[in-house]
Amino acid sequence: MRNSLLITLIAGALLTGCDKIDQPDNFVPTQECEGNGYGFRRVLIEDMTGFLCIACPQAAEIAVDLQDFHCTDVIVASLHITSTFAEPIAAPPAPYSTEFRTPAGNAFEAQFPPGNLPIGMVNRKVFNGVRMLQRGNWGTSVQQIIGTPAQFEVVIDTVIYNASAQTYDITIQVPVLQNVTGDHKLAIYLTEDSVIDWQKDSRFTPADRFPYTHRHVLRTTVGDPFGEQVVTGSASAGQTIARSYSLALPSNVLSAEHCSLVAYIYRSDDYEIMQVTERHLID
Amino acid sequence: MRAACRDFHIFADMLDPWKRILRTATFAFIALGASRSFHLRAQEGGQIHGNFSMDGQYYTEDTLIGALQPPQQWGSNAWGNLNYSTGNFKAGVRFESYEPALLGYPAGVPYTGSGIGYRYASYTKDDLEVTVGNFYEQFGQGLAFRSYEERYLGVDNAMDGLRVKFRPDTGIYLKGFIGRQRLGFDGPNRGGFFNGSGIVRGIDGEVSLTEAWPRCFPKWIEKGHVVTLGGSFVSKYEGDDDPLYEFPENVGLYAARVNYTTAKWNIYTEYAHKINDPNTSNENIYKDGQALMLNATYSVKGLGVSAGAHSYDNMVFRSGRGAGPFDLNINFQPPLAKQHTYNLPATLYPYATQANGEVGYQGEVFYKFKKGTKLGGARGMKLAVNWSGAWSLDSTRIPNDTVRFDGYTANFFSLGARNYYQDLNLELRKKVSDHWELALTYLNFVYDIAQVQGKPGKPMIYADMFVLEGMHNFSDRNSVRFELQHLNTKQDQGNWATAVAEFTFSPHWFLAAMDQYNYGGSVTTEQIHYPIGSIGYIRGGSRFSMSYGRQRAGIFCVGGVCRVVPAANGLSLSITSTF
Repeated sequence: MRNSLLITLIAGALLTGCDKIDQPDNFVPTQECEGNGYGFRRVLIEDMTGFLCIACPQAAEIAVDLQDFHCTDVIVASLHITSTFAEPIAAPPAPYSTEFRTPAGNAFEAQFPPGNLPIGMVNRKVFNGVRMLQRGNWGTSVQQIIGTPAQFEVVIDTVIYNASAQTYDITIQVPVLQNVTGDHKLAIYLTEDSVIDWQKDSRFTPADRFPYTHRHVLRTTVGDPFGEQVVTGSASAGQTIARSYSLALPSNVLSAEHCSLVAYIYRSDDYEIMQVTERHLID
Repeated sequence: MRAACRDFHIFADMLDPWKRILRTATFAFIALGASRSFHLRAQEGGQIHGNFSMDGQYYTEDTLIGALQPPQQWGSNAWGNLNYSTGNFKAGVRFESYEPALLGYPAGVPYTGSGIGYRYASYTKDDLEVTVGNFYEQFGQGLAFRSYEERYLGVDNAMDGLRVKFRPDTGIYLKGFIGRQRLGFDGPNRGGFFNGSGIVRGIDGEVSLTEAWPRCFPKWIEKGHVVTLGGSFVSKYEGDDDPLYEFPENVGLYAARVNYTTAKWNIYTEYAHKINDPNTSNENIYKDGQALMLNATYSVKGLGVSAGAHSYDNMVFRSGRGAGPFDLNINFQPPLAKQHTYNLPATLYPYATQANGEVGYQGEVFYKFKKGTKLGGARGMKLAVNWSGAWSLDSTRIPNDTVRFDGYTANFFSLGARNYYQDLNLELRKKVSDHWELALTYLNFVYDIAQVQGKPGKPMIYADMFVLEGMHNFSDRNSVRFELQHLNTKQDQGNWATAVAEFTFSPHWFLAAMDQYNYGGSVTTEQIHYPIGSIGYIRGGSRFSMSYGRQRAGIFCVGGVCRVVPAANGLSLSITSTF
């Protein structure tokens, strides 16, 4: 009896075994890269971060890796939020004195309470009951969306600098690719890439990193942070929605050459982003 | 045959069909209501019992302490359990409501709305116990597996699946289970709890040598010695859809334990080893994990001594490799830090086990000075001295780690350079008259707030605390208890003082008042008072209490797991009831 039990236990253990991987075949970035193109869904990763957050650099690296893997199908915006992790702790020019937070970021923090950082949203979609995703879930979540047929395209058609007004005049077209129901909103971010500043990083001793390159920093939104309604009730395939905007560069932008516009359309009721695109402010 | 195939299919697919069946059964169970149950009790000896608890708070904004008022203004967490049993059969359901949840609750994935949070059915027959639905379970001290609920922490990793316990022979205990873990709660969209996607399965065997083979150990039995051996194997399955990493889809962990007890001694040790488990917590490294814990206690009348040590290395084990620190934990790494009950040490600088790795030690001596001795006086005196500390694990990062992705090498049970915390505390407790009892406590903390609370750049905290507690009985029914606490530190928020007074008018009423004052001392602070008053009423199995005042932001910990509690101001209401 006892021997048979022992055999049963060992057999059970073997049946529910484990996979030993000696040399993982992990992703290595290559130069060749191409997205799925027009008509397929792209993904916006909203990386909620802060320069005092010691694990946030790892999250930023995952976002960059996903961009390298999926190319133009992954777009990243880094939202520096929370008083705990993004509030300056000194006066300029001391380390950690830069105010990365923005009114738009604060509005998103209130709408999507992050809990702890780093955390992020992938097209603001709810995956298995969870919208605010730990960085380890970004890759799998991105994978579920990318390449699926899109209901909309979003095209940043023109970006023209108006020297007299010192503004950028932007036109956006949103072709409707499938019949859709429900209200939808169009929103636009201005992000700035490669911003050099301080950053805490738990992998370093001491944990302070300078120069650290902050990627895709949200600087402002064009118009209301939550955008404007462009579909009311329904829209039909073949229809094209067009909008025009004017943007004056905010004072927190360091280099217009590093700025990009990120335009996305999302469902008003659950905030899920249905399509997103990105274009450099200055080509 | 067809029915058997269907049953097998249900077992194989596991949870969704079970969930539907159990949900239907649950609602039927509720719909039938108490009258049916009482009917059963009358006819068949069935019983229904349960309990209810609710914590609500009306929030007001208080900019001085950073307390916010949510749009709903009111938050409440409520739970109601109903359990039915008849003969060898048991079934139960827990209704939960978060409309909305209290601020800062829970620690992990949000809980929203109302619905079913737990349901189960089980029967016992011929030393076999079968449970379907939700269950909590633990192997050993939890290094391999612990499914538990800590309601006020907001941690609930209940299993949802199937569990079998079997006692094949005297002194031999077997357990096995398979299922998924509770991840969150979404009343509006899912009708209640929902599970993570990973599947967890485990087996555990325990043998009491003296019970199982009494003829082999006659002297042990004669002396009252008991030796118990145990072993576990737990594994999880989670699909790998990640584009960046090649993740192992099946990750296993095995553990072994020994417990030796006599009338005076209790010695326990447990070792666990985990196969490669890259996850968010360990930054996706493929290094194996291991843990060893040792505890020994010695106690005779008037004297108790305990000592403990552990080393944890890369032992986070979750059924979702991307899950947050509070979600989908399969195992548990027990802390050695003393859990304080006095407000200041309990909520300002509590210690939480550093999940990715630490080395910890603990020692405690309890001694009771006898009556009539010089120190014991007429009524005796109790002295308790406790020390605990934890350090980083001595480890070295592997450079250019692009082939095996092991991350680092570690010297198991070897102290690293970083001291996470130390806690030395002494308590003297003495009854000074028939109506008075006093306790004086001194605590000394060394606390790495940057590491433990994730506040980078904050300096190490060195704090001294004194607590004077007194209890006075006015009569058999009426008493007062008070606490005076003081914390002194030159770091963080500086000095704190706290006063507490609790009046009890048995059997129904109690009144309490507390003020915490962060006066800073050598640290400049805003010198804020946090006054709060409470009144409570108890009748039978029901307890009502109401509080009004400020609650400072702090840390709430249970069993070495902590969550941040935000500052709040307002009226709170609590009801508990059992039947």
